[in-house]
Amino acid sequence: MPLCMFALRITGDIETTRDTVQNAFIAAWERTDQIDNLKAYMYLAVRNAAIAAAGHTARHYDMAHAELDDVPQEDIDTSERDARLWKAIDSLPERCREIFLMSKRDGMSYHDIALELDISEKTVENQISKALKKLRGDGSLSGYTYIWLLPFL
Amino acid sequence: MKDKFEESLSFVVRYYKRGALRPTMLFVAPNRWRRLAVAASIGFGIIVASACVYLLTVHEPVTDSIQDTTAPVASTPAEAPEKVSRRIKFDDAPLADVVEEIEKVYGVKVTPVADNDTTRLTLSYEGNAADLLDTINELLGTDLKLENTPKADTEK
Repeated sequence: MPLCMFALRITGDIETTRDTVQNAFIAAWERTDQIDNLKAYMYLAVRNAAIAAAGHTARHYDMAHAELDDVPQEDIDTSERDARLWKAIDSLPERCREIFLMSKRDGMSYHDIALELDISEKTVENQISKALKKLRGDGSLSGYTYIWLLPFL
Repeated sequence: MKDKFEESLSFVVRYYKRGALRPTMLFVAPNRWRRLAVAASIGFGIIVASACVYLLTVHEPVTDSIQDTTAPVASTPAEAPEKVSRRIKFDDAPLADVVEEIEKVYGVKVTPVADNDTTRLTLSYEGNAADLLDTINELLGTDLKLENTPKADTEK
């Protein structure tokens, strides 16, 4: 999944990303005996394949990194963060996700969303803050549970 | 950290599509479906094979037609009467009765036997009249023969 996010940053297109990553996996499968570090290898393979597929115009990726021998750790971290967020959005309740995307992706104001869905602005606000809490929280879940437990100790 | 979060968020939100990137499906699915197809075809093959075996073993005994001794003789046998194979059984039967029975069952004529003949026969036999007579002759030391005028009717 992080690999997909990584590829997506380069290609900017989900279909291309899917094909690229799948092919990279299959190609790697055939030479697992030659690979020492699978993770590093996969990131490298996917990067090169994605660049080839995207045609040298990476939309959300620093092309200066494209020439390096290895994929920098920060890029790997970014892709893992992206993957966490994607999964978190996936796990949001239907309604919540809808409202959240309308705000963050479509840039609609709370007011407009409320009108569109025929609900109160307060509801919109609640849903979005719930969503954000979940999205942030998934990254550092242990921290949140620790804080929650404190009163009981 | 906050900037990175925001950056990631805006990127993901922009491209997010529900169900577009199911992680496990990407790599496992082709193999899983192939494995499923292989397993299904093997299972099917086993069922077909066992069905064939079953049909063959059940079918075999039926090919030989076994006739009961009490069944009336067939009216028009395709082969010569003495060649028709029948199953016949004698239990301590006097020779005269044996001959009578053979004539009835096989629709043939046999060397007549005196009614006071004391020879008795116990035999279960399956075969044609000619062979049967040969066997009886061997067992009892008799000399029964098929007469060349086969019986046209079943009456005796």
